[in-house]
Order: sequence, then C-alpha cells, then structure tokens
Amino acid sequence: MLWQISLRYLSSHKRQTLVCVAGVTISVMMFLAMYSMMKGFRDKFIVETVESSGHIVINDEPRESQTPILQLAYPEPNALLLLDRIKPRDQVKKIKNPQGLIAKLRQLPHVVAVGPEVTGDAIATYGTKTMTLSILGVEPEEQQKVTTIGEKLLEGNFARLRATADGVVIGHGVALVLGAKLGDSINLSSSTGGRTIARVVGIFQTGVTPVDYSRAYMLLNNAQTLLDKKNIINRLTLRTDDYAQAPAYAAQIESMVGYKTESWQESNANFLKIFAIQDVITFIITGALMVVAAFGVLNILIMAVMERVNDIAILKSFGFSRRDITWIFVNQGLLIGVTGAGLGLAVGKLFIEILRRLPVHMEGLVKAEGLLMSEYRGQYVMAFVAALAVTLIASVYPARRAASYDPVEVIRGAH
Amino acid sequence: MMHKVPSGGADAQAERSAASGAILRARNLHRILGQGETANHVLVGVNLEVEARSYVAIVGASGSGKSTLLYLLGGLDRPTREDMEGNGFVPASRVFIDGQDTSELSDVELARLRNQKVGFVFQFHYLLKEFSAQENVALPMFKLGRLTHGQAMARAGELLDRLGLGSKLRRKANRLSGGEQQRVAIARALANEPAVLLADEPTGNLDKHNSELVADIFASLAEQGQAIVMVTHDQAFARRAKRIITMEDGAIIGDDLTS
Ligand SMILES: Nc1ncnc2c1ncn2[C@@H]1O[C@H](COP(=O)(O)OP(=O)(O)OP(=O)(O)O)[C@@H](O)[C@H]1O
Ligand SMILES: [Mg+2]
Repeated sequence: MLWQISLRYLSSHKRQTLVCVAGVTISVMMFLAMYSMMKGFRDKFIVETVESSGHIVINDEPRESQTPILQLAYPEPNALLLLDRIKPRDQVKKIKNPQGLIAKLRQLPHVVAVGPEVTGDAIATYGTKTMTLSILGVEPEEQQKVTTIGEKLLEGNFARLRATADGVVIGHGVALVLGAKLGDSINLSSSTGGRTIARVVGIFQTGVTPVDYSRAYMLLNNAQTLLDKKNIINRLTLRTDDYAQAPAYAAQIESMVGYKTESWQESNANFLKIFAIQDVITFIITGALMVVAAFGVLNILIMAVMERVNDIAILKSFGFSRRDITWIFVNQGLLIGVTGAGLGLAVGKLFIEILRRLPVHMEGLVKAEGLLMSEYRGQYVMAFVAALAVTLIASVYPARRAASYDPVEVIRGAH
Repeated sequence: MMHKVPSGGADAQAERSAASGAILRARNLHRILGQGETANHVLVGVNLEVEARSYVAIVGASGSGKSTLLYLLGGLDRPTREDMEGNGFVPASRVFIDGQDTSELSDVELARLRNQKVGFVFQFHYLLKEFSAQENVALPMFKLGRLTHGQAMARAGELLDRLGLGSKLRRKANRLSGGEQQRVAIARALANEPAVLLADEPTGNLDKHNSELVADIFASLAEQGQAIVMVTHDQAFARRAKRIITMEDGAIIGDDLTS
C-alpha cells in the first residue's frame, strides 16, 4: 500500500521524475565508462610493462640506502657539502659469479625463469640518421621465457638473433627514426670505443612507447663486445608465477643476493602513482555527477513533501505512523534510484561497447587501436550501490521532514 | 424541550462511565497551546462522556476550544500535562477511547487506535487527489489490514453507494464536486466501522443544499446507531443532534438533551 502511494505520487510528476531518473542514469553511465577507460588503459600499461620488461630485475649495484657519511655529520638539509678530490671509481660494475646465482635463483619456489643481460648505451647510425639506443644483450631462449618479446615482433624473428652472427632486433620506433628496414645493416658504436655493423633481423612493438623508441636486443656475447663488458652480466631479469606478488618476491630475493632487486611495481612507481591519481579524479568527477543527481532527488522529494502536507495530515489522522509516512517518501527515492541505476548499468554497458569500437588511434604512453575499455563485475556493483546509496541518503531528509508534520497543526493551518 | 444533565465531580463521572461503557471519556482535560508569551490555556478542565449510539453536537463561539477538544477526543492530539507554573493537573488529564486510556499508548499505538476506533471528518475533505473516490475510502482499510484488497475495495464501493456516489467510484478525487468530495470523506471516516465519528464543521465549506445532504447523512447514521460527535456553527444542524454541548472559553457551560 505504501509502495502504491509512492508510485502514484511519482507518476503525478512524470516529467520531473524522468529528469531525476535520467540524472542518476547518466551519473552511473559516466562512472562506468570513465572507470572502464581508466582501468583499461592501466591494465594495458601494466600488462605491456610487465610482459616486456619482466617481473623483477636484479641490478649490479647495492641499494643506495645508507645515508652518506658527510650527511650524517651535517644533517641540515640545505648544508652545502663539498667533497674535494674524490676520484670516480673506474671499476666496471657487474654481478659476480652470475651462472652460480642464476642456478640458485632458478631453485626459488616462485621464480619461473631467469634471463641474464648486459645493458649499455650505443649510438646507432643509419645513413644520415643517428640516435642513441639502449642495448640489451640477451640469451634469446632465456629472454623469451622471461618476457613476451618473442611474440611482439612485427617483422623477422627473435630466435634469429642466435642464428645470425651480428643480428639486432630493434623497436619499431627505432626503425622509424632511423628509417631502417628488416635486413638493413646499421652502425653501432659505444662510448668505450666498441663498434660493430649489425643486421636488423627483427622489428618489435611492445606497445610501450618509450621501449619501442629506444631498445635494441643483441646476442649477449655481441653486446658484451660492443659495450666493452667482456663476460660481464650486469642485470638479471626474472619472471615469477604471479606479477602482483613481485614486490614481496623482490624483497626476499634482494635480502638473499645483496644486489638491488626491483619489482616492476617499484620501477614504475611513478606511473602507478599517476594511475592512482587518475582513479581519484575519476571518483571525484563521477562522484560529483552522482551528488548532482542526488540533489535532483532531494529537490523533487522536498517539493513532493510540501505539496502533500494535507495528505500527510489526513493519513496520520486515520492511522498512518511516522514510519509509514517516512517510507512513502523514501520509497520514491528508492524507485528513482533503482530505476536510474538499473538503466545506468544497461546504458553504461552499451556506452562502453560503443567506445570500445570507436576508431581512435592512441599512441602515448602505450599504443593501441581503439580505446582500451576494461570491465569487471565489481564496477557494476559499485556503480549501482553508490547510486542507490546516494539517492537513498538524499531521500532521508525530506522523508523525515514529511513524517514530522503534526496533523493538528496542518489541519488548523488550513482553516 | 431540553433537559439539563446534572454534572457531578470528575471521579463520580469516571466511575459511572466504567459501568456504562462510554465510547469517549474526557477527564479534567487541559490543553495549553503555544509557548512562552503566546501560551494560551485553551481547555481548562473539561469533563465529558459520550455514550455508544449517541449523537452529540458541540457549539460555541469561535475560539472557545471546540476543535481542540475534538482533536483530543479522537487521539489526534494529547492533553497538556502541567500548567504554566509546572504543576501537574489534578486529577491528571486523560482521554479514554472505547475504554482505552490513551495516555498509556505510544504514538504508533495511538495511531492504530485512531485507525480502528475513530473516523475524522474535517471542514476540508483532505482526499488524496491521485486516488479514486473508492481508493480514498479504502485507504484506512488497507492500513488496518483486516480485509483483502478486493474486500476493502468492495466495502468502499458499498459505503459510497450508500452516500449516493455509486456511479463515481472510479472518479479521481479532484474531479468531484465539493459536496461529493465531502461525502467521500465521510465514507472514508466510516471505513473501519469506527466506534465514533468525529466531525469538525463538516458543512463549513458547503452550500445549503450540500449541507442539508450531509446533515441528513449524519441523522441517518445516528439512527443506525453510529456514535457521532460533531462541531458546528449551524444551529439547525446542531439541533438535529440528541445532545448539544456548549463551550465557552475552554470550558463546557451547557450540556443539553434535545427532544
Ligand atoms: N498554536 C496556538 N497557540 C496559541 N493559541 C492557539 C494556537 N492554536 C489555537 N489557539 C487558540 O486556541 C483557541 C481555541 O482554538 P480552537 O480551534 O479549538 O477554537 P474553535 O472553538 O474550534 O474555534 P472555531 O469555531 O473558530 O473553529 C483559540 O482562541 C485559538 O486562538
Ligand atoms: Mg474549530
């Protein structure tokens, strides 16, 4: 009976009710779409990053955690510390006894694969074009186990690094900048004087723009020669059984090996921070939309209550309790909320599918054709619950006000 | 010819009513309206009993406290407990509806009692305009919950039919004439077969013809044994009641039986 009264009241203001419902629908739809877009973008970034750079990287340096001695002596943050005659140590950094370490790491429970690497910069020259490459010397077989680089080739074949004596696999961005194509030979020279002519045996695209525009893979031996790091391994890349757990595994490994061991989360902390900010922005914007929708509900209900003062008085006079009156008006909020949120889920889903199909070419931090929309059931639940909660909260005040009218005062006032 | 009803002490009256089973009983009713400077001692110790099957009219000058008394008798309002100095009234102000001491009831219980035992009719009809005449009459039955939806609607139809509105059951309340609306309101007050019908100037907004129609309806209801207490300024209407109570300055100054 209470529902019936609520429904009649709502349907006597069809247009306002529809506007109110539309407000809730739009806020839910926008939340779903924005959230999907943000999450899609982030998921893509994470997957590409994790898959192309590995879960954990062990570097050939101790973690610089200790405060320098001089800073201990002069703790003021702005103290000017001048060190005279400190000689840079020429010592080449490396991981000691890498083979032994790799064997040990492979024994660890969560480690799936370990790839030895030597890294360094080299200048690439092709015709008149020149650019700096970050060279990654790898064992192709191992590297394909630690990352998905083997699957990212647009042209050529990653395994050909092994077969070709002087092969190099370059990012497609590098190929674009240099104007080099598969089979072309490019000149590589390092700062330590090493130089070689390498043949392009593969062009990859990870989708992570900074990688695609700077990285080149070579056979470990060739890279060691080019970079003048004979027999040196200065980085180990690991794949684990769960990339989400990488920070925990990395900490464990670091305490074991003593080298700075970084999870992908730590290496990409800046990006992850941006994503966290993005999330906050998404919540603020869609939250604001929901609040606006809630004000719509509040407004329509306050009007409804003021219009129904006489009804409230007579209903109370023949036995309706405060609670009955409260429900009559809360129900109206609920009806608007449920209808609006329900429609919002449907329209939101539709909107996501439309956005997904939009022919948008994206090439920023990650490269993608079309907007990346990632959905999960929780976001629908979240949107529905949030919209409902907000409309419910908005209907409580008018409903309580309605319930508090004293029938005697109303009836006296009408005379 | 009119007879004076002898008025005894409040306690004596209380005892009598317990024996006779009065439908309404007011004992030393006080009501102070407003607060502070504007406080107004509107009822100054009213004692009153309304027997089953009786038809009572309350008359008196404007502002004498008739409406206030009626709201208290129907449990729509509660008596004031203490005077402006903070002293409790002796004996305490009490309203008994069908033997039930309303001061013992919570707001929800009192609302339920109104639903079951009291039917109010006011000067204004207070119909819900989105609902049909029949639905308006059925609302108190829906609230009581003793009848199914169908039964309640059927009974509402019968009530309206008895009041000459059989052809307008489905008409929305705001598309009825003023006289028709007031008759729907009377039917609604009768919905749950109340122990007493309380009417505050039920003809106050009506023309002569409709006023007479309402007066006839009241007379016929009273004849069928419906207890009625009504407030009216219409002398002719009042004289059709069996008993006329006259109020002045918040007190009963006359209580006469008509013949
Ligand atoms: N909120 C209030 N505060 C103070 N005094 C009030 C308040 N409401 C009503 N009164 C006063 O109470 C008195 C009794 O009012 P009541 O409505 O019972 O009179 P009534 O006999 O029904 O008059 P009428 O014939 O005009 O309807 C009046 O003098 C009125 O001014
Ligand atoms: Mg009055």
